[in-house]
Amino acid sequence: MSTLVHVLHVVMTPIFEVITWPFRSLAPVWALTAISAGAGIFLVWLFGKTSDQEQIKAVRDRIRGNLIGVRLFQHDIGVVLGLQRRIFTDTFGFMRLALVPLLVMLVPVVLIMTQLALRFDVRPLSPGESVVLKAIVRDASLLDQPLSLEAPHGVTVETPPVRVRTNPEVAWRVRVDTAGDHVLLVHIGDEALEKGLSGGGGWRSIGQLRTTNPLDALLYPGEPPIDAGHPIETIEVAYPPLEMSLLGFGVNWLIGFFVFSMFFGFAFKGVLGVEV
Amino acid sequence: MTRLRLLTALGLVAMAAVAAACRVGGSGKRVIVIGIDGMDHGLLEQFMGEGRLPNFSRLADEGSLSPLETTMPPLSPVAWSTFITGLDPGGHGVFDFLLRDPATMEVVEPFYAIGPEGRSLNIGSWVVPLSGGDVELYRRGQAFWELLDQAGIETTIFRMPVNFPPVIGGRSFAGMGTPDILGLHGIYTFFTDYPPENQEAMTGRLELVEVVNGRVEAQLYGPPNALRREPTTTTVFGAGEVEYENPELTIDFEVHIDPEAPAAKIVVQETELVLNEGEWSDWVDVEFEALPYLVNVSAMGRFYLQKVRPDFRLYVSPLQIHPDNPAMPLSSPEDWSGDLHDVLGPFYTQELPEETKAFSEGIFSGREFWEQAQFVYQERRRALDHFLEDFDDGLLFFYFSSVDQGSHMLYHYADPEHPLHEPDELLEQGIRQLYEEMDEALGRVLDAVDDDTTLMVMSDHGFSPFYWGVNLNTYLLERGYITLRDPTRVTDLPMFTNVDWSRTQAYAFGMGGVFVNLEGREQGGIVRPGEEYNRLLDELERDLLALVDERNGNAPIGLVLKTREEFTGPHLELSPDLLVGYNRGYRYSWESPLGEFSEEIVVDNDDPWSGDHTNDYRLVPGILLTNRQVSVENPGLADLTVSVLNEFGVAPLPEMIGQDVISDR
Repeated sequence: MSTLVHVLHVVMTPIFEVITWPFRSLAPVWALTAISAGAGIFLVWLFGKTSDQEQIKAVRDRIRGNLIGVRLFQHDIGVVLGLQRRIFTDTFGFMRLALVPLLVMLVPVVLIMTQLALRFDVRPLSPGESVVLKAIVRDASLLDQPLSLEAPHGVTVETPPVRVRTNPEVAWRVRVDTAGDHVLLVHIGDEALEKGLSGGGGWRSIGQLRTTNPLDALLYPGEPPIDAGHPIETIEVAYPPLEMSLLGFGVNWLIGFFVFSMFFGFAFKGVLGVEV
Repeated sequence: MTRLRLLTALGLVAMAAVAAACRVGGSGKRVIVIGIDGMDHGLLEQFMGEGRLPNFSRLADEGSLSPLETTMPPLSPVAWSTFITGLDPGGHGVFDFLLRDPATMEVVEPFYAIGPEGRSLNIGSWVVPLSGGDVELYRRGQAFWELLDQAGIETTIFRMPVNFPPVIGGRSFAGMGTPDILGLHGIYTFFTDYPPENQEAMTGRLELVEVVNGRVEAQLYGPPNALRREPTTTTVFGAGEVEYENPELTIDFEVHIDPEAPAAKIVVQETELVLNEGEWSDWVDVEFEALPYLVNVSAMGRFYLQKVRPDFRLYVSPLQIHPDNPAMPLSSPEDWSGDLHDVLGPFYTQELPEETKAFSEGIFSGREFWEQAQFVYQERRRALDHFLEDFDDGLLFFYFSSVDQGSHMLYHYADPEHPLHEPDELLEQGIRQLYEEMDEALGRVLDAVDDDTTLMVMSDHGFSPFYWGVNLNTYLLERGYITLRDPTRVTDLPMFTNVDWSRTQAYAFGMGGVFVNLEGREQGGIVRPGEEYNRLLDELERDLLALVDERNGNAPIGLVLKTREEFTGPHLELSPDLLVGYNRGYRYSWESPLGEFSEEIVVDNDDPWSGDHTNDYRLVPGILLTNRQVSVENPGLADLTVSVLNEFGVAPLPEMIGQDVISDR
């Protein structure tokens, strides 16, 4: 399962690198807007391809007709109640028709969102900035083994390992001294594990977490999953959030994605001839 | 018709554009005022003479430097209020750091009032506010930047003392007098498993914790939750009235200490910190949940892991009102504090944030105080850069507290004659370094000053060593002005509780005030207004000036001032009847301001708070340094108010007592 997730990321991440490359020197909100626009149009197209458009159109027409009927026959309570029952039934029917395409859409949506999170959730550390690196181990007894963190030139390990038996985990504070993508090496007993550390300005792909858990690995595409059986289950760097703004207003990337993709999706549904 | 509407719209747009241009274009005049709390004229001249302050020397050569007469009493809130309003204390109503309610003899907040609480609807344990309580500034009189704003001058005022809540007009950010998130004057919390010896005297919050398997569970404390209430007392068998109080908001946090290394991990809400022993954290944002998912109170603080073993010692700074989501207004306009947070990042928002209390109370060493105070200074220094880059036109006022707070706490290191003097290579040079830092900051200011810019560097008062404390109440007791109910218990009862008011004529309260126990004002007043009152003031003046320190023959008191004769204005009812100015080396004792008595009248000062300025105001002038010429020999704080207004051609108010003292080159 972890291998499958890794392969998926190996395919998807370069695609998104190419998509975002033209926006590299711009504020991140433009890349987010562009990806959201493309995603919105693609998802509407996908909805059209995976849904029974004829049935959906028929149901929507019926609902529209019945809504007009409610307005026309509002003096006759019996008719209105009957029409409302039909609207209610058709609404459920519409939801049933949309269920399969929505489930299909879920797959690309998750993949797109993991790629967006990879780029827009956190920012690289500024030179001089410190961060906590935390490794959760399989068993508290592993914390009794020799533990160390090997840092390359440009990164300073500021604290000794702090072992927390209750979780069980070990944490360090590290400081980035120079910009660039650094690789740290955590040693635990005879085993070692690499973890990336991003320093510099702007925005780019940043792997926050590596894990043995396939589901978590799916959500964090920046670095390969940890092999099952490794003493470290999860290793994580608590990067600061990336702050994004549009016209002076702060934009959360997740909300931005939903708003922009919905806007462009609805704007293009007529062009694509899709009933939503 | 359509054309008429179009022309009307265009006309309106043009008018708006002209109005905006006038505003944006501003006055074309630039005035920068740098306020350095506590910069002493004598020390400044000394360091300039040693060649350590090249920018101060340059400015003095090109413009002028003179002592600046401070107020009586020479206390920061009083002095800054005079600068702000151009009025004496009788006009602005600020006389001290402390204020008493003569009806109850209890201490009340002197600078601002929170509440009264608005109307609310109680549903079980929940409280639904229907109208909010307000925060009100007690300082009276109009701030000079209000007048400038009314005249269309752009004003930026950063950390002006006695401006909480900030007055409306221009852009201003509150300074001295701004509370922490608890509504108090900066209450730190100290978590330990081994109580310190002086825990009785601690003004910070002491939290005793247990370290179990390297783990500490503790809580941060926030303000009372105004949206909840809990019953506190009922009468027997549940009959009668139930009283309620708002429970404290709290946040759980954990500390995990490594079994061997002198380091720990701290987990507070979403934030995880790893600190070595002796390290400070960055700012940590916290959210107190007043109403789940709906109402939070934002705050921020810093953690200092002092020691992990054998004793666990963790200091948490007073939790600050968060500038990005302030629970009480920090700035005017209100959203400006959030804009500043976006630009500057998090910063201390409480008044005087240098942690003098933890140093005085033995929680911090001198070096720990120095490190924390330097952090405050560096924050402020970065803010200065921002304001200078942002400053185009109008008035910029910028305030530094580091010299004042450092001079209070480091005097005994610099002064070999101080009874508490101890050698410390770093801290002996502390005050000098603070002046040098101000010189560097002045250099940055001078880079932003052109020929059309008027620059004023001013301080509110100077400094003097604090060797000996005088307990005025003990002296008044000895002279028969105070009578005790139980003369066998002189020193062990607090806050005048042992005073027999029916046989007491006068008492001391606050940092330099003597009050007559006046009929009609004090609850148990016995001295009749008029002749009896005046006669008593004369007697008190004579007796106070006659006080002698028997150990060395010195006279501790150099000045006694009758406030009703010296001050004008409509707020004299709050004033002490006499103000006492001490000679060099003396000050009020620690027990005296809050109505406690001591065995001796004059006692040695054994607190690191070793420099002070509650002297005869003539002994502790501030400074006025400007790139223009000062036209009088002895300028005062109220003169500066008029001078700033005059720089913009704005007429002073008739009640202002100063005169313009700045002339062109």
